[in-house]
Amino acid sequence: MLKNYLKITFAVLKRRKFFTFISLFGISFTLLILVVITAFIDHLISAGYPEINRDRSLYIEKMMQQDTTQQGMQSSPVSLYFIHNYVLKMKTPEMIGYATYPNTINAYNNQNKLKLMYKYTDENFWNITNFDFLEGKPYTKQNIQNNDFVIVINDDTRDKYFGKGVSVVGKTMEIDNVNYQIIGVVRGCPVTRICVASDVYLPYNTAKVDQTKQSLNGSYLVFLLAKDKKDFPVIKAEYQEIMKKVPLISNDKWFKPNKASSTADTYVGSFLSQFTHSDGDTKKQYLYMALIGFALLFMSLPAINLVNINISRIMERASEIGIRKAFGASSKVLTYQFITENIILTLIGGFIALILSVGVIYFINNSGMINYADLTINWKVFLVAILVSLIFGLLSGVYPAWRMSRLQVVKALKGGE
Amino acid sequence: MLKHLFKLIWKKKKSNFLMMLEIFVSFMILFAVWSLSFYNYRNYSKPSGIDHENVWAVFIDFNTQSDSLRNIYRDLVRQKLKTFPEIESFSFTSSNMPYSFSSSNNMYSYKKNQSMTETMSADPSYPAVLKMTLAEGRWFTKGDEVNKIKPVVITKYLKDKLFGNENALGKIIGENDGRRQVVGILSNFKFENDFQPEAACMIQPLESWPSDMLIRIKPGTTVDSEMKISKALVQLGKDWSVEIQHLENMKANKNRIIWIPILVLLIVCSFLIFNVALGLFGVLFQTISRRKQEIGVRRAIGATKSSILWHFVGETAVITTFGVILGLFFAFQFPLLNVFDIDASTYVAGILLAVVSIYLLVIGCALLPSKQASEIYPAVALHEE
Repeated sequence: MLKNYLKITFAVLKRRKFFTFISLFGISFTLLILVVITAFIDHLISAGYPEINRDRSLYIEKMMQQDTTQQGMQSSPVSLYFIHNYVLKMKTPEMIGYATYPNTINAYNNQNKLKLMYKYTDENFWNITNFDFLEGKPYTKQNIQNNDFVIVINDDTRDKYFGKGVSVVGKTMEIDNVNYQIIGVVRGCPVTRICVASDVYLPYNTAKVDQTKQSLNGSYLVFLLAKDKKDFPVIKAEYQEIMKKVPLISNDKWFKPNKASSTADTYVGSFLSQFTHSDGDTKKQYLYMALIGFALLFMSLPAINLVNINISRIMERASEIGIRKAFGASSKVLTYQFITENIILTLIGGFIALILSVGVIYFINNSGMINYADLTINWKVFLVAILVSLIFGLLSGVYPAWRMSRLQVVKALKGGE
Repeated sequence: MLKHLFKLIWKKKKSNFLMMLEIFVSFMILFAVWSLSFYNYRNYSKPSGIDHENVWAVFIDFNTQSDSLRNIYRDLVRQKLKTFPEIESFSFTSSNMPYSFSSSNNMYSYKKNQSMTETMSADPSYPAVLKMTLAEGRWFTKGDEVNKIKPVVITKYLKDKLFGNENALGKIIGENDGRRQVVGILSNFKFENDFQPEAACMIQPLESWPSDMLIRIKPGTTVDSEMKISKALVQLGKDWSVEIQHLENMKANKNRIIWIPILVLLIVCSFLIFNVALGLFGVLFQTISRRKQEIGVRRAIGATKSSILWHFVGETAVITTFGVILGLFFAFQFPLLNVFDIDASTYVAGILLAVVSIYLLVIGCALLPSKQASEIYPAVALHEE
């Protein structure tokens, strides 16, 4: 029976090439866009090389000091002073690391100018992340205590500064008029992973700023690694306890803050808290709702189109239905026939979409738009999208099919209506 | 004729409902796309008022909090830079220079009008570096430093917002410590990117904090000179940091942030619309070929070929009209409610362009099927029956 359904399906699809093309184009194109967009979002929010522990990390990205009487506000990443005196005293996280946001600096070598991103980090940064060391090793607590001017660079910087693939550990590199000794080379990571991405990594003690300066606002973000996601509430609570005890400090004669606030958020949450000025984790569901809403809105037009086309396709086949009914086909058999057709069509569309998305994602990864881009297809979203288009296909197919199958033979033979 | 068409469509509204819905959604998409494109194109076509070529942005970090030290350091830098023949002119500026990622806003008021204003500060040599010209008035000069109320140059947009049609030159805005006297007016100044709408901006004499610079260099200056200058600057102070960027690249970067998302959106929307066009074409073919008998009868009782053609095109246009009317109802809410605070003319242009393009699209899709319909011989059509 199934074989029969399939046979008819392919015959029908081949007979009406134009309609088949429209349906396939609509299905595959819509899926393609959804898959590529979700691959981007996935790339932005989920854990990936070298930030593999993102799912069990909390991030302290911002310290906000407010003067509630004068409506003044100052907000920036946190300072080394704050990290050393308060954050490092936390007991619940498994490990605590910190790093600055990437900044840029020029490096010159034989007539060439390199624009490099640089980042100051502590030694735990290397334990929390999972960089592939192509050569050498990361700097350690010992290096920092000895005040060694050592540097870890990525392969891209090595290729541009020294030449492709040469061994560079032990060589020196001049950054901002200071000579650093190269201690390790890592495989680079996409700049979209802003917390860990950089071209060169320097120990925090080599920064030119005064590190003992008493201030809450600085340029560091903190990674709090938890043993497990379940520990998040405990860590957050401990951090809020610490925040209660932090004395307010301001070096500005115009600004006298009376309130300091800061939160430890998950990665997505800390991104959201940039906009909401509050604990971003509580706003996560809105982001997801907005994304799902957008996806549905985007799918609505192709869906209407699909329904419209399916209805005309089936109406057109009124006489075929009439004949089959006249020869004794039951309503059930006919409805199954149409459902099979729709499923096959959707699956073919999905298959084409899959091939196209692999191509587009490969293109994006290799086009150099984002250095080291590693977009991948999010299978969950792809399957959900296929499921949704199947549902649309079924809805659009079943209703007219059911109406057709109930049609009186004579009328159907005359061409419907 | 028209009444007849409307009656026909209204009678079959149930079966035409999906098509209307599709046209409505397409209309809304076209409206959004056209409004966005129109808005950005109009902003893009205005001059930026800045010559960004051969200009470097130099970011210096003195690593000190002390105002007096910063003053001394700035003079050191000025003296050093004067010794380089490659440099035409230079100016210290606040970090929110054109095409930078930082911004600094203050509220300024005149009588009852007020406006959030991007506030930059710079040396008197600033217009020479960026080759900016004034519409009215003059730039502040070194001699103005003694004035208690700082002289400032403002954009025309800010002038219109605060003063309306009044003459602004010589007027004082702000209060207490923030009092500023307007001495010059800029007609164009797009400092964010090329797609920036006219904005409120004020340029005032340098304050004690800034340590970033804009430098105009002679054309053809090489990387070698850049390295030389950068080194010379870093060596002035032991814990300074210096970074040189080219304004051209900074501008290209800021522009990219605007046009890449628009381009992606346009590509996605054009595919959506193409998809709809194909769908409409298919459905129209189908409906028209189902109505062969009707066409036969019409032809038999004297309808000409062209009247059949126009009948079907007209019918499609009427369906489109229903969808568009619904769309217009929603689209007109945008200028009425002043959504996104954008000029109503942008939305009206968006609506007009969307209406024109949706009719062109639908009629384009209807033409071929209608033409085939008109070529049906009455005898053949009626014989089939």
